[in-house]
Parts: sequence; structure tokens; C-alpha cells
Amino acid sequence: MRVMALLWRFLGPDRWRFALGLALTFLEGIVAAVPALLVGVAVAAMGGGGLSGTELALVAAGVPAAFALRLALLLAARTGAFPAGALASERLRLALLDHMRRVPLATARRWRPSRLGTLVSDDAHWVGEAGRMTLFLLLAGLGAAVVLLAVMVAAAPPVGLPVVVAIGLGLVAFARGDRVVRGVARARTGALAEATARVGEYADGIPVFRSFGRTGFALTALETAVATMRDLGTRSLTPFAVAMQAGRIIVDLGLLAALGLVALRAADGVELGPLAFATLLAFVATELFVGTLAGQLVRYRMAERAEREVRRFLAEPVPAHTAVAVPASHDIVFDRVSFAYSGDRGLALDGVSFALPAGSVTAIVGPSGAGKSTIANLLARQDDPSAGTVGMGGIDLRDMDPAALGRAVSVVSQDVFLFRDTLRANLLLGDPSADERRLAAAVAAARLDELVAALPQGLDTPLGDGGRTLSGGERQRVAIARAILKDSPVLVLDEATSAIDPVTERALQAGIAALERGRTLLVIAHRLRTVRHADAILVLDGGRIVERGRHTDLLAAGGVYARLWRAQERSSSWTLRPPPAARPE
Amino acid sequence: MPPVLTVFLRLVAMMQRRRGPLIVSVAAGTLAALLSLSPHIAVALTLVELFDGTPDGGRIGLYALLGAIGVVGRHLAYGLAMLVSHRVAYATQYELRRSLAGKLARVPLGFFDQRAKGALRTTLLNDVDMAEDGMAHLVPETLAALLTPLLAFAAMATLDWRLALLVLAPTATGVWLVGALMRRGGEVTRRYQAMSARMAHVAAEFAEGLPTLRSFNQSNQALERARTAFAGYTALAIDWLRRSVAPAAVAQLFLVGNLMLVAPAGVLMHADGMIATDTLIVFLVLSIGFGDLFAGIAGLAHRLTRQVAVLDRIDGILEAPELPVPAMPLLPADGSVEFRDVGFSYGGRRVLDGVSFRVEPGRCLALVGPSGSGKSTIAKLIARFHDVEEGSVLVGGTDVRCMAPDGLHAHVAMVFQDVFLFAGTVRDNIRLGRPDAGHDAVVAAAVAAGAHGFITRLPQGYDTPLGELGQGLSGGERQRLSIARAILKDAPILVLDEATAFADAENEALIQDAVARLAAGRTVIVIAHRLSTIVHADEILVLDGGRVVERGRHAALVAADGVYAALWHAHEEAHRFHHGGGRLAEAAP
Repeated sequence: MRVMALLWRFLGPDRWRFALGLALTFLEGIVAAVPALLVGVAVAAMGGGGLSGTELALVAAGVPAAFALRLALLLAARTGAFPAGALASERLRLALLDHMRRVPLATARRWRPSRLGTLVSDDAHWVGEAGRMTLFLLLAGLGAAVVLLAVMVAAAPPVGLPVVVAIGLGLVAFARGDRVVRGVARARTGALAEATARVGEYADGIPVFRSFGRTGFALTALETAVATMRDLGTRSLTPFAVAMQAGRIIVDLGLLAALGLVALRAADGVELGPLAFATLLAFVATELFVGTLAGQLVRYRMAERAEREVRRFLAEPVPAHTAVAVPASHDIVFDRVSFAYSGDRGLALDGVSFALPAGSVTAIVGPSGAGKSTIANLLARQDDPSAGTVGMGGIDLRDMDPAALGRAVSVVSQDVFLFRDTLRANLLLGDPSADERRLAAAVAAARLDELVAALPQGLDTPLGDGGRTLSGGERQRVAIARAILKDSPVLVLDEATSAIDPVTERALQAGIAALERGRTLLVIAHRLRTVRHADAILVLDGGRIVERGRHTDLLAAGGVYARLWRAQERSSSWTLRPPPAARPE
Repeated sequence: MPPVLTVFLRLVAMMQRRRGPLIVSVAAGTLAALLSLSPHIAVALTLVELFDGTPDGGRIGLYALLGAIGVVGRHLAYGLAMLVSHRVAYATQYELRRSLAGKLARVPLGFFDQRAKGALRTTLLNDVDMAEDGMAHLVPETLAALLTPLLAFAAMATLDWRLALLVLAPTATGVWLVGALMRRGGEVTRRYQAMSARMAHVAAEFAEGLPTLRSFNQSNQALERARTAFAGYTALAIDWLRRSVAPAAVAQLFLVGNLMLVAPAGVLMHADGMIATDTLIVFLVLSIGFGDLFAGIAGLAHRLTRQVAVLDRIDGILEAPELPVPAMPLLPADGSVEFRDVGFSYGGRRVLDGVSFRVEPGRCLALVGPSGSGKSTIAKLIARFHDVEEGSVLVGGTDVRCMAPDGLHAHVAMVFQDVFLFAGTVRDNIRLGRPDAGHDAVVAAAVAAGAHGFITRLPQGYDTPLGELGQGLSGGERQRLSIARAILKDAPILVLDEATAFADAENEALIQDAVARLAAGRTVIVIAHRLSTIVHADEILVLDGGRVVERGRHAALVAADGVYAALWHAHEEAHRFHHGGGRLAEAAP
């Protein structure tokens, strides 16, 4: 029923078309019972000394007529309702995407991107399948079953009752069986995940195992894992089989119990016509359940499971978008900001306060895991602080118009996400309205022109799957060009750390220099040398600011920064081999 | 031959060694399907008995009992068929995974470079899972699904062939209609699948790119792309529904509409005295549910088609050429490395061309050049990731093709940027370098690699289990563990991808110290990214487009004012870069 409710929500203008389709389908189910009823009449009459002319005509004409009527009803029901179901699942998919872009990023992270993707492709599919097929077949079956059971019970109650009871028990067993299956699956999840991880590890790591001459070791571990997978599967076979078949067995045995009652009644010498009639109907109803309904119920279960997940995601709260304030300046202040990632025990940031005056250059340095990237996330409002406030121009970011904040801040991070689209589309993400001239200027400033010239279709070359793959340095420059096009007053730059050749590095630096000009700059620095001229350097460790100031002062203070600086100076003059003079030859 | 049949035969061939269980499964499956007619027979016989004039309650009770036995027997037979087929499935998967894994232990190491990260994992896990359906279900189910209606029809035909044909006709028409529909829809099905894939793809991309989209305020644009993809999908679906709704409805009615002809014709023939009452009753009852016997056939073709790609990917691995192993393996004599006029192509592209050099034991050779110049290929050919096409690669004076793989690997240690840690303790991971190393040796290696400090701070020290792929360790820590491994391995030749770039300043210094200790006294071949680290190398090879364009020592190369000098100047300039340069330069007096 909840599946129907979810569909109803997304049927929109097609609701009545869909409802009419369902009603006609129910009717079709009722008509589907007619041939069986007529055959029942014929069989009963044959026992009573043969069919009359009218009865003969009724059966001979009625059976084909019923089929013709069913066909007409089916066509009428489906022509309108099936497209309505398809449209509803499209609306559901769009609603899911729309919700994705409105929930806090922390929510999206918790669901994991891959799960969100399958929510749209798979779960929405099962709900849609219910709207296109499953619901209709179930409803038609229900229509036929109701008629058959009612007539049967009316004709000969003692024969009919065991069948009704058995079908009821069968439905209960069905629901139970589903729970058993889920329980067994849950019980083996841990062991299965562990074995799966080992097999995956082998696939990823076998080159390394081989290069250490440890192939045998890796194969032994794999052997154990694949044997575990085999044994887990084998062991759950019996409970699965019993759970799946129990409903059908019960219903079949109900029919045979009814035959037992027929045997008793026949011996009692009651009128045989109605008894035969009811026996036949009992049989048809049983067949209907075992043959058709049970299969559709399994599919409906899939829809129900998907519906629960879809509903759970759509229920994720969305921050209220009443904020409309637009700041007068771009001065940024972090005031006693703390932040903890969900599921993490410790604080990623712990009472951090600092200011970024408009036009200033500020650097954050510190070991990995110190909380540097978290500051960038909070400034772009990818997350909200757990305590304290981040403000721009005196306004809390939470009260600020999200679009205005989006225009004000650009983040150029290490992970550059490229869409599987043309290079042009990926660049225009920065500003869809940019004309050719601005685009060309950004491409040149980001030192991408050589790449564009080398690509077969220039800016219109598709990237990613089946298209061109960009190197790390090229991706970085795409991100820079995007940010140049976006042209926001505040820039957060997460320095790339991957090794690139010096010529590429120079090009990248030239692009960065072009991008930085005239903006408020927050640099997450990995090389201290690049921020030695910054207005302020914040030294972060364990989520706290442990030192702050300008390069020369920090160096003179002889603290953490000075230690990091010395380490870096030493490593930048490091050579793989000592100079030949120092070498014992 | 239709593709469906080809796949079926391919599957049968793969299952040949399990012929016994396969026959049991088919027989039990067929028996189960035939026994599913036992309620029909019990009901038919009961009705016949009721109209016998003097119905015998005891006999009807017997029918009910036999019917119940039939039903129980049916489910037992079905259970047996399923049990056997699944056992075959799991056993086959087990063997398949083992032979795939065994194969991966024998292909050239270069094989792994040609595949996208995660592709092998997918085949070993998902594809083998999918193949279960093919091997264990499709083969027995197809046979049982074809055999059952055939036997049932034969039995009915012996009673009265005319009525048997009338029962069969609607189902046969339905099957034919579905087939026609599928054939006509072949093109649509392909487009539909392409559209589904595109839709899944757009959705996954949207979810993945969410942070980027938001930071550019451009989720509208992406939503628009999704809207287009979804609308295309819906349009196709609706178009197909429209065109197929009539034939599909007819097919559905015919498939299980066995009463359609036999009921009217039967009563007329009965009235005419052509058939006896009990014959008609038997046929009327049997015709209800006769169509269900064909249910097994539905979807078989589709499932078989799906196996094609799966089998292709599995065979792609199983049929990959293996690294030739010499019958009489030789051993390297010393720590020298030599390339003699080496030429090598990769996917049709010339990657190395006429490369020659010799590194004496204990000397250091640096490889320099833009990405794609062939540096990594040289490093990998030393460890025989591939076999060269021209010339030869000699390690310790011996051609690598004349050595046993383990012999070569024992002689060459590789430290690359990508560190692989497996789920085991820290100790196990270090001991990968030398399995029989004692505790003291492991600690000594960790100390030399600058890893001892952080290891002792871990909750259980050296016995701390690492999560999958070493989760929880920083990049620098992982790197130092891999150096500890290499130190423990103590191979005379070290191939190094200068891999310190991603660490923070302190980690970087620690890693450099570790590398220096690892490199001491060994022959070193280093892929250099930061030129300052190799100014003292004994020889520098400058590569471009797979050829050696310059060679010599640092000072001489800088003086020569060629490619290397240009790289060196870029390196020095990059070193001078600082952020906010534009503004600060303007502000400076």
C-alpha cells in the first residue's frame, strides 16, 4: 500500500488515468474468473445428466467472449496507465536528484555517492516496475481470486473453507519467509563481506605479492576466502528453499484437504453438482495463487524494499532556505569554530578563531589530519560548524543567501571532479554564460591552450569514459580555468601535492598566479616556501591553531613552524646520493 | 548459429566435468515440474469419480492422499534440483575464482597496467557471481523447462490427440507472439539498455559530483542534463509500451488461456458424443495451469544473452598469454643493470626505441623526462613487467627472460608511489619483504625506514591489524612501511619512483632519510620528479618520446644547455614561486 502511496505522490496530473487503469484491471481480473466459472457450470451439469442447449451455448460462446472482453479491458487499462507509471518513475527520479542537491553535504556523504546513484537507477526502477506491471498483475489476480473464492464458498462451504484458510496461511508464510531470507542474509553479511574483501585484495595486490615472491602466500589466503564464499552459499541453501516454498506447499495441501472433505461429503450422499462445481473452483483459485500471485508477490517485495529506501532518503531534512542576507564586504571571520565529522570520535576543529580581511593572503599549514581541509569546507559552507560561527561581512554564513555565498567563494581543491562531457562544458561550469572571448582568456590564463590545441576536437573533445583522460596537472588547470571564469572575490586554494614534472609545474604556477590576482586568498599549503610572503600563516595541529603570524616572526619564535621550516629546507636540498666527494669510492 | 545457442553450448562445455550432478538436477527438476500436475490429476480423478453414479468416498480420499504425496514429492524434487544445481554453482564459482587467481599469478606484470583499477576485482567478484546463473541454473533449467511441457503434452496426446492440440494451441500461439515481440523489440531493447545505462551513469555522476556542482552553484545545469537523460528514457519506454501493449496483452492472455479453445470445443464434441465425459473433465482440469509449465521458458533467452559479456570478460583473463618461464633458469651474477638497444611498443604505440645503458653495481641512474617519455616503462622492464620486442634487458649480467620470476624479483626491489598494504598486522605487512624474518629484523627494518616511532604508538604496536588497504595510516606512514619492506627484502637492485611528493614537510624529511638508508650500497634506478634530488646521480638519462635525448652528469647536462638545462631552469623557477605574488609584487616599493 505504501508503494501505491509513493507512486500516487509522483503521478501528478496522471493520477486519474492511473486509477482508472487500476480499476479496469480489477474488473479484468473478475472477468478472468468467468471461463473457469462456465467450465464449472458445464462440469456440474454433465454430472446432472448432460448440458441443456442453453448451457451448451453459454459455455461455447461465453468462454471466447470472456477472453475478448478481457483483452478489451487490458488494452483500455494499460494504454493509459502504463505511460502514467513511467512518467511517475521519471518524476520520482528527478525528485531524488533534486533532494540530493538540497540536503546538507554531510547527509550525502553519509549515504555515500554510490548508494545515491543506485537509489536513482535501481530503487526507482523497482518502484516504477510496480507502477508499470506488478501492481496491475496483483490487482487482476486479486479480482479473480475474490470472485472464485466467494462463489466457491457459497456453492459448498465445507469444500471452500480449507482453501480460504490455506491461502490465508500461505500469505502469512510468504511474509514470514521473506523475513527468514533477510535474517539468513544478514547473519552471513559479515563473513561474506570479509571474504569478498580478501578476494578484492588479491585482485588489487597480486602484482605486489608477486614482486616480493609471495604468490603462494596470497593464493593460500585467496583459497580460504573463496572456500568461505562457497560454504556460506551452500549452508544457506536449505533455509532459503524452505522459506521460498513454504507458502506454495501450504496452499497446495489446502486444496487436497478440500478433496478429503469432498470424499466425506460424497460418502454422505449430498447433491453432487455443487460439490463438483466448488471442487473445480477451489482448484482454479489454488492454481491462481501458486502460479501467478506468488511470483508477483516476490516482485512486489522488491518494490516495497525500494520504497522504504526512497522514502528514507526523501525524509532527510533540508536546511531552511529562508536566508537572504547579502554581506556588504567580503571580510571573513571564524569565531571559535568547532567541527566533528559524523561517526568520528574526535573534533576535526576545536575552537578555531581567525580573520581573513578582504584582499589578504592567509596560509594554513600543518601536518595531514590537522583540520586544514575542514576549514576550507566550512568557508564554502559545504558543512556547518558544530559550534561557533563562520561569518562574511558580519553575517553568519547560515543566514546568508546561498547563491550569494556561492558567487563569493571559489574552492580549487586537489580532487578535481570532471564530468563525462566536453572540455568546454567542464570549463563553463565556472560560468555558463561566458562567451568565447572570456572562455579563451581563461583557457590562456590557466595555461590550457597547449592542451586545447593538441586535442582532436579542441574544446569540444569529450572527456572521461571513451573520451580523453586528463593527467593530474591538466585537471588542476581545468579547475583553475573554472575558477577564473567564476571570478569570485574569495578564493580557497588547496595546493596539489602530486609529483609533476617541472615544466608542467611552472605552467600550473603561472595559472595560479593569474587566478590569485586581486582576490582574498586562503591557501592550504603543503610547501612552506610558497607561503613565506603571506600576510598571515596559521599553524594548525590536532584541530587547533598552535601558532600564527608572519613567516619571519614565526621563524624567530622557534616553535612548530620553525621546526617544519627546517625540515622542509633540509628535504629540499636532499639528494638521493651524497656528493661524490663525500662518497667512499 | 543464434547467439543464445552459442552461449548455451559454451556453458555446457564449461560444465562438462559435472555431468553427473547436472543430470540429477535436470531429472529432479523435470520430475518436480511433472509432479506439479498432481493436484490437477487428483482433482480430475475426483470429478470423474463424483460423476460415476455411485461415488466412492474412500477412493476420493485416496486421490487426495496421493495428490498430497505428489505435492510434497514435487517440492522435495524441486528442493533436490535446486540443492544440486546450487552446489554445482558454488563449486564451479570456487574453481573459477581459483583458476582466475592462478592465472593472475602467471601473466606478465604488465597485464595489470593495461586494466583499469578495479576491473579485475569486478571480474573476480561480480562476473563470477553472474556466471553462477549461467552455469548452475541456465543449463539445468533450460533442459527441464523444455522437457516438462513436452512430456505433459505427450501424455495428453495419448488420451486424445485432438483435445491435446486444442489445449496446446493458445500457449503455442502465446509463445510465438512473445518471440515475435522480442525479435521486433531487439533494436528497442538495445536502445532501452543503452538508455538505462546512460541514466544510471548520469545519476551516479550527479551524486559523485555533488560537492563540485554545489560549489559552482551549477546543480541546475547538471539537473538539466539528468532531466534530458530521464526524459529520453521515459519517451522510449512509453513509445515501446504503446507499440507493445496490444501484442503483449494478447500474448499474456494466450499463454495461460488454455481453456479458450478446449472448453467450447470440448462441450460441443461431448454433446455430439465424440468424447466421453471423463475424458473431457480430465482435459478441462489439465488445461488449467498447463500454461504455467511454460513459465520456465520465459526470460531464458534474455538471461542467456546476459551471459555473453560475463563469459567474455572471464575468458579474457583465462586466455591471456602467460609469461614464458625458462626451463633451466639462470641466476643474476651481480647488481648491474643493462639495456641493450631495447625497443618496445604498447598498444600499437612505440614507447621505447633503441635505449641502451649500463649501470654498474652500486651506481645510481636517474631517469628524467616529461610524462609519457618512457621513464616508467624502463623501470618496469627491469622487473620484466613485459618482454621487450627488440634488444635485451640484463639484470646481473643475465637476460631477464632466462631467469625464474621469483629469482628476478628476489634481486630487484621496487618502491613506487602507490603503496599496497593488505589486511594483516603491521608485522605481516613488513614481513612481506622476507617471510622468515624474526622480530629483531622486522624492528631493525622499521627503524631504518623511520617507521618504528609511529608503529609503537599504534594501539597494538607491530601486532596492530591494518584495515583493508591500510586504512587509518597517512600517506607518509604507508610509504615508510613500504620502505621497511624493501629494506627487509635487501635486494641488490632498487627501482625507485621518487615518491615523497605527497607528504607534509616532516614526513617528507623522514621518508627521505629512509630512502637514503635503503639506497645505500645498492644499485639504484630512480624515476626523478624533483631534479634537485638527483644532482649527484652517477648518470642521468633524459628521455623524450621513448628515446634517450641526453645523457650525462648533472653539471655537464646543465652546461650543455639542452633539454635537461631547460627542465632544470623550470625547476629552479618553480622553487621560487610563492602565493599572492601578483599583489605583493605590486605592493612592493
